[in-house]
Amino acid sequence: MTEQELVQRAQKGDEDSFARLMGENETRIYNLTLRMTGNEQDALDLAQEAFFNAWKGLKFFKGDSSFSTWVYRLATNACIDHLRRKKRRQDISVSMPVVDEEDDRPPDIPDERYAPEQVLERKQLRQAVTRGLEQLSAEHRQVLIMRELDGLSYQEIGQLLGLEAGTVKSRIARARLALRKILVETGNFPPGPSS
Amino acid sequence: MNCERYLDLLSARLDGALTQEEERELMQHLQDCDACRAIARELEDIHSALADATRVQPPKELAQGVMERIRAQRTARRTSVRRLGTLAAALVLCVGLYPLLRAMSPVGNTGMVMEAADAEAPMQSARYAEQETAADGALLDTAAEKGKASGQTQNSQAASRNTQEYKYACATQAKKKLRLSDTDGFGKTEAWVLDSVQAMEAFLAPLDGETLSEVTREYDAEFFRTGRLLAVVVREPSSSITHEVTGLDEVRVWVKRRVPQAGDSDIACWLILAEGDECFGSARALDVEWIQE
Repeated sequence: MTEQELVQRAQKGDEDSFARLMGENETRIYNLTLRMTGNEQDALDLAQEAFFNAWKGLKFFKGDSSFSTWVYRLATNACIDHLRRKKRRQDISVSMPVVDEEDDRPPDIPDERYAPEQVLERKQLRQAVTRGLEQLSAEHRQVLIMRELDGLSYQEIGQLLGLEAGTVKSRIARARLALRKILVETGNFPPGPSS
Repeated sequence: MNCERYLDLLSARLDGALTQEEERELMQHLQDCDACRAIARELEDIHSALADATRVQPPKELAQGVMERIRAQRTARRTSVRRLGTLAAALVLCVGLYPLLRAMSPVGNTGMVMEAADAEAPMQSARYAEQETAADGALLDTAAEKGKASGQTQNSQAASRNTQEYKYACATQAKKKLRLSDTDGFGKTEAWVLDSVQAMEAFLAPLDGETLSEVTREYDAEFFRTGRLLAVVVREPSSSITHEVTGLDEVRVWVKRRVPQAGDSDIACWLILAEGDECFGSARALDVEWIQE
């Protein structure tokens, strides 16, 4: 059965069809919410919220976009809302999230530790990048996830967020540079000559 | 050297979004600029690290949890009526989800409409409690009776055709009444059902930060799981005029208005918030119907 057929059945109240739609989309949605929130519990809650909202809003779903794009949009909106609320609730303004107890990496590493030719192990870098991603602003995190992890084009991202492709392009550039800055500040990249 | 332009180009290059001209320009610059060359390497590293990122399998609870909520919502609607609030005129009926978009296009009987619920007596003297219940619990549609000459009539008539769809009239207790400095971005009089944090924040956007925080602090995703807010903005020529939200249905909210014999003549703008549950339905604008006392 095509996605369209499943949607039509689900719109009529067929829960099994909706369950199948969920099955087809849950990996992508969960990975999105996980990358956006950085923790499994929030990721689970938000992914569930996105799907539950999709169920409730099914009768309004006109099929302008595909169901998977629509639920992706619901999920990313839910994540932004969540992050904004979380930020508002914080009494202290933090630019870095709470660090794991096991992570005793000092925030600043002196220059001398790095020889210019030293390259980090792939795994280490991946972990550092994931952590760095969580420290970005919600908007920067969102576009990087969409571009890098979900492979959406500038155009597609623009449509999801209601932005011009050009705006998306520059936001992604800003996001990448912000992420790079975090990695420099946390000692993952040598500071080097500043531009 | 102002490298900002080249940093943008570096990013675009990662996405394969450079024109030939831009590519040439960038290459030329990188030959001359150590800083940008270093940054280019780092951006490449970040890009490939992200590309490396593995996909995680979602936990089983994800789908299970959603299906449970869907079933729970349906079961809750089938059980009998709940009475909200303590105001008189509490003819409370539970309805099927009959959300109307602002455009008010008629919605047919979808699979989500729930089954008949029991109506509760006693009926008291609220204006809208002119509804009568027949022995089998079917309702007459007062909106159709009143013959509202708006697009909503069509919907009401559709509703009365199907005896499984009922109007949800409820007595609500206003939880908050905030005085606003002026209508700001609000229309003169507005009423909305808000069904999510997103809807709430969008509606409250004209408020100043402090007032906004005061409201949103209380109403979070947890609240909106099963709760709804009814938000009414009123503007009066006197702050002595008081209001009471007495009920709502798919298209309107009833607000009782008490004008005292004497009072202040200062323009007052109020935001009234009443809490309800899922029976309020989906986010939508409502017409305000005044009940003068």
